[in-house]
Amino acid sequence: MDGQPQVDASKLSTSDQKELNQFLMNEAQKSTIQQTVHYLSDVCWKKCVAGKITSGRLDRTEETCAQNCVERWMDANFAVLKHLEALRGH
Amino acid sequence: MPSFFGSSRSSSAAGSTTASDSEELKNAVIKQVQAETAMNNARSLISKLNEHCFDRCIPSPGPSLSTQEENCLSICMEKYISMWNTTSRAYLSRLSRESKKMGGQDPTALASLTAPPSNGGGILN
Repeated sequence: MDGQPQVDASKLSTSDQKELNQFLMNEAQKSTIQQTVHYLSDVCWKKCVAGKITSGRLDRTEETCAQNCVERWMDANFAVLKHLEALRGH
Repeated sequence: MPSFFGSSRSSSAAGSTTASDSEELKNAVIKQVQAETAMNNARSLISKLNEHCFDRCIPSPGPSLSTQEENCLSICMEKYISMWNTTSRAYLSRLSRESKKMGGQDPTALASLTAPPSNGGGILN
């Protein structure tokens, strides 16, 4: 939030600080999830919607492809993490 | 929107902090953050819609947008949004399945492990 004055946290009561902190953490995580969904839509659109666009809906093949795309992306993610873990063990 | 920052400053000039000042500031911050999150989200979506649908619908730009191109853009947008909804559902359900597998861990913690490269919030940061 560039260019905006800092919020003076000392104006907040302890309980309000706590509540706000919790709220901000939740928002940050929601935002991470949303950005991931943006990323996945981008990637899976490229992979799954290749034909000419004739309808505003995903057809069955595209829908399945998109679901597989997300699932395999997650698998790949976990596989990489697992491999890193193994490397660290050496 | 700048008003709340202004009001928080004017109340600081008054000196003592009351419970209602605190409440007011808290609510203002919450509102501001929510508005900015929504804005960011919309901005990301719009930029992706533009990128993909321009690519698909306007392969060779003419002097003006043809009716055909405009129709293409509108169904392309609908389709991209369906794609967004589908990936969102698939991703969230996978997250909750994984967190159950790991013994009821908070699914949002997993989400930051699997963050995309572009947002810089990945495991190595």
